Amino acid sequence: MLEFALLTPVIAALIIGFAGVSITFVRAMQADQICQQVARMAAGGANFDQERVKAEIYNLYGGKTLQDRAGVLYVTHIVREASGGYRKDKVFQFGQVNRWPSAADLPESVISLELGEGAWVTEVWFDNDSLVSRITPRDLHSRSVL
Amino acid sequence: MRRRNQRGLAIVTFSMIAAVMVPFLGLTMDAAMLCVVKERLTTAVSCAASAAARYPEQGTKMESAVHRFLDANFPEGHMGTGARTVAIKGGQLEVRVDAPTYFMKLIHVRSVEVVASHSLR
Repeated sequence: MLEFALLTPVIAALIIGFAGVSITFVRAMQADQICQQVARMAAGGANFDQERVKAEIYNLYGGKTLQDRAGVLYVTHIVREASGGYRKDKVFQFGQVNRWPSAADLPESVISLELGEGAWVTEVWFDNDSLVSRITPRDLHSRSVL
Repeated sequence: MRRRNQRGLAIVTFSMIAAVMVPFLGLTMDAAMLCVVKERLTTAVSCAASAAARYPEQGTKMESAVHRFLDANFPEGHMGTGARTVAIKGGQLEVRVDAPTYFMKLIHVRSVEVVASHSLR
């Protein structure tokens, strides 16, 4: 009996650790996939102010996290002007915008563009708070530049 | 009532299960990391190919777009990967990186080559 009592915490720690890492993996994949799909939608000319487009995003794999405000999505179109300066052309954001920053706030740090060239920067931050947040990252970040 | 010869049975059982389970969990985690690297590299290559398609005539502008968009989406050393090899051949973009392993190092597999390719047309 004593051996089982001593081994139970070890087995429980192993199971919780593995579950935590698995959840982190699933959330990382969700963040990556939502990021690439939204980047494609943006490049295809989607208007993110429309409720229909927002509903489409919430229906994507991982979209519920955004709907539950446990994450944030930034979609920014950046352009490099003929003068050489970078400018944010369009900005859309959903979710908990005050918690995480957008790298597109400093466009030249995201990508080096040719004069007159533009790019869509899509960023997703997800909260990964769990039982094992000491060994797994607290926030998950994914970025796609298209 | 437990007999004297049953003492320590739990530890022996746990050790046997752990000997199988721990390497299995390690392999699963390495596989998961490789999946994430493959998926991010595939996305980066797809984005770079889309950017290159803006410059239909294959030349320095197209190559520059490929490298700039790859750097933005999958910079050198991203997720602990090794040197990135970029090849543009016959309308195809192919990128190779060496992804590190964590548990497979125990069986002397230090890295695994991950390849992603996409058509430039």
